[in-house]
Amino acid sequence: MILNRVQNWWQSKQLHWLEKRIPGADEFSLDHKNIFIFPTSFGFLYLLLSLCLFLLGSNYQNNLMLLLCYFLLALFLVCLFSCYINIKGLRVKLGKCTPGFAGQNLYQGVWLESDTPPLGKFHLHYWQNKDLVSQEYCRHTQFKLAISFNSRGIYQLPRITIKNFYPLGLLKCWSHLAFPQKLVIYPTPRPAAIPSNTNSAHKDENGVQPSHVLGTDEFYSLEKHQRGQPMHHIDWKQMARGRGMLTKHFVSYQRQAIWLKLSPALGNDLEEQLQKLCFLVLDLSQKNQDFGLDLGHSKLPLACGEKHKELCLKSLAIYPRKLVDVEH
Amino acid sequence: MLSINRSHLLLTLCLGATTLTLIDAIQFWVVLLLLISSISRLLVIFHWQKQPLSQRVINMLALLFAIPLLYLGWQIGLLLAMLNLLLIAASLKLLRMANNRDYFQLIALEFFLIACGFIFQQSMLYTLVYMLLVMLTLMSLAYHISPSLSWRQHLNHIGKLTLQALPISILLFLVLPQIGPLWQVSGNSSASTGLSEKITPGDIANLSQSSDLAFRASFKGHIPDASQRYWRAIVLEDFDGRSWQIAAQRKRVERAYIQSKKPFTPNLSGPVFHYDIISEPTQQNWLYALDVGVSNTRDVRLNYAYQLTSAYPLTTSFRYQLNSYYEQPLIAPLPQLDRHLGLQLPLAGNSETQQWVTALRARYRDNNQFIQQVLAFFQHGNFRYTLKPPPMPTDSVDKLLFEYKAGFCSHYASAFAYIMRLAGIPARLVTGYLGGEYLGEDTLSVYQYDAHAWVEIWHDETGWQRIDPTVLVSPERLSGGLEQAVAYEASFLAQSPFALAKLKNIAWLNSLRLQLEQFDFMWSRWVLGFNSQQQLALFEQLLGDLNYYNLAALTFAVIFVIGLLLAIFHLPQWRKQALPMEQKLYVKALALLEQRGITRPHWSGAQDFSLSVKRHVNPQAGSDFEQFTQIYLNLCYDPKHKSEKSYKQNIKQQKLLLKKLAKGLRQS
Repeated sequence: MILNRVQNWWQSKQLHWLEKRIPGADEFSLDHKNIFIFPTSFGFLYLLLSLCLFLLGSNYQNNLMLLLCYFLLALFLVCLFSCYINIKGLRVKLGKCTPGFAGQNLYQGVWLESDTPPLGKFHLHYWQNKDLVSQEYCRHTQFKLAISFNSRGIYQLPRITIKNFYPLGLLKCWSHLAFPQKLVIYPTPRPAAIPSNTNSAHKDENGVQPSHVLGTDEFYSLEKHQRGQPMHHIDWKQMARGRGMLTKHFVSYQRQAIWLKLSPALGNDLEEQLQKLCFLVLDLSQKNQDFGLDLGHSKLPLACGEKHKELCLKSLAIYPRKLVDVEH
Repeated sequence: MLSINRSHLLLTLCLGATTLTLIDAIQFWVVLLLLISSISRLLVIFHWQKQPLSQRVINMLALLFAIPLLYLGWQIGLLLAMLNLLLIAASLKLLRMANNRDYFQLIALEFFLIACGFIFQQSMLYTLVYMLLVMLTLMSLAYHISPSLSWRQHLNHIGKLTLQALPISILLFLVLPQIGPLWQVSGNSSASTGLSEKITPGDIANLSQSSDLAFRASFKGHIPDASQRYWRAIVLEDFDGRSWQIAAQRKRVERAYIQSKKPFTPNLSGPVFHYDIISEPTQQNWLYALDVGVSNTRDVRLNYAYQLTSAYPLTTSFRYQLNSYYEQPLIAPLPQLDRHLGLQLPLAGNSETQQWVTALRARYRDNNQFIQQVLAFFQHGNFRYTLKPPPMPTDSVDKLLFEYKAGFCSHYASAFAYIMRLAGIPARLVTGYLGGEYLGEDTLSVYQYDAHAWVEIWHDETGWQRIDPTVLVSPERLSGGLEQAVAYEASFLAQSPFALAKLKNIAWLNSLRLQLEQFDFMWSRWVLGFNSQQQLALFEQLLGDLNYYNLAALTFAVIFVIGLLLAIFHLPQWRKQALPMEQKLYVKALALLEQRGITRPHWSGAQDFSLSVKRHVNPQAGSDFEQFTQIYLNLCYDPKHKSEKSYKQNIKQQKLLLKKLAKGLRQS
């Protein structure tokens, strides 16, 4: 309990310090201002070994052992420089991250670029997160860092830690980089039925119920042929029976508009409603139907398409805040 | 095709090789364990088998192996027990190398084992082998950190790191203080070589089969003649009828003097030999000196029997400075003790000799006359000097003098000292070396086969005096060494048929042997034998006077030099990375243009600027710059030029254009 609190306090202290030391930026070039170097646990073991060799070498008055000890120490010193030079000048950029749903893994791309290729495996992970992505540098390599959130919302991308142990694993060279990237997490979709009373509950702007629209999907009626109507819609069988030229009419229900409404007053769990709405948004978008979203404090007009879907999902994610607030 | 874990493979091989170099010090079953775990590791590395054993089994095995080791530890000594323990730990780690931590611990163990190797092997050859092993271990680490690089690249990097670290480590070695031993370490007593504190006549004959080096002495000034090269080492005063050993009482007295910190400082005068001795490791405390030798080297002590001892067993080459006063009589500092010990006799045995001595002594009451008679007996009694004496387990003196009449130096020395004691003349046995082979002009190499034993007898006025009965039996031993003394029976180094020392008569082989010896001498002298004394001498040479200011200045100078070395190693790379090459070249081109008064406004793009430049310079330079700008832009923004090969080509092209541009601008 206390330990936890101390840990939290210490972390926030660290983050505060990092905020001053390495403020957020769109792109980083690693240099002495943002690289940290410290011996690894193996490095400490190695130093302890050197100490043991010094004691043993002194006690046995064994010059070769002493030479080996000094060689190991000198190597440590040289490594200190070469590990720094190795990752100095490395440029770190963020790639795109497609938004995702709560509980699902999101993959944030991180690009490393350097003029002189740095050596050794790079280990990337988020701040205080144990999941590593380890890979060696190669021209135009992207690291895909997985992250997941349990609840919807809009999140700041945590600091990305980039580590390297070149040349001998004695020293850890690392940096905690902050990118001003926001991650939008949609609610987890929860299956729900398309509301049936949508038509009566919601009138169009004109007050007219949206009706069927001529289309191509389903046979609707036969009507007398008029000039200009497509020839292949003429019901030739009827004509053969001598009933004159009749044209088959088809309708499409696609453009039937649906309003999705959030009703917090209903007493249902708000999150559950949002999850259901999320499902419906996805579902309707897939069926290519028009729909609008009414969240009480803001409305998204009837529309359809990728852009509309994204807007809807985003406003579900940030509810009760409004899109307008978030953008600015 | 699964990839092979090269870093594990290298480490396994290194461990195996290190074990091989230590094979004499390791228990048989430990070697077996290591072999099994290496094979199992190799099977895993080549994907013929999965990770074999669980942690629990490993723990059980560890316990299983720890018990016999605990038991053995008492017998084989702390050092060997530790080494075996380390190897068991390494084998078990190797058996189950599950994660990074195991791997890194094993690496540390490997380094430690290599270091332990230096306790046992210090020759140049072994040092080379161990250097190679250190490099391979570092390679293994490098493979672990960046697995995709080729071995050539790794070798390149590790080589560079090593070359950078070497000068720093040598500097550290030269200037970091050589502190003495912090506590008494247990030597590798089972491997002690050379003379021993108890000899049974015949033992030295065994030593004579060894062509190993015992020590080397480098003289300043004149070198002793062959007849003066009696290197004293151990004084043996306790005779039990068969073996000679150091008297218990002598040991007690010396211990008391050491504890009361009373050094023995005899009055010394007369001519002196100045020389340095570098002794090979013996795991014992005895040192060698001609006659009365005194040393000012730390931890070297002259004791009351005129023996030189080191405070610590020689686990490594030991270098000490000596002044030998070769005409100085060995006046007994403790006459009563010396007399008492010098007259001690075994309780029984050798009755024939006793009768012979009683009879002879009755005829010659004068000590000198008596001694002359005995010596004459040795000289003219048809005695034979041999490396293959018949065994004389009981009444050995009787059998030597009256039955076999054949023996080795220790037989004659033992018999002579016994006769003297029977006659009431204090006598003692001294072991050491007799001889020395020239190495260069002022250095003598002394080998184990030069081991020798002789007698010191007591004179009331002049103290202990050396008498070597062996020389009377075989004068060649003194003039031509052991090889000539036993040439008649061809027994010199008979047990080592390939010893280079045996092939002295083949000229080129002998010169090769001497060349190797010369290298080895340099190695022992400047590397193995470098100690605090030489270090101080070095400091004095550098600084003149050793005061605090100078030492502080030296410290800063060393830190400065190390800093300088690091700067030299790393500054070029440091600067190289500041800008990518194409940008650097572009900046250079801009500077060239600026000299002509054409400055690029900060708002102007590279392409626009190249067009505006065209209007200001001659057409050739203008088109060169345009081309140059195009390549620059391609390299900066077009990813298809980023491949290694095309990048290099483009940079080359850019450099060429820059040169042309500079030329063109100068013309206009």
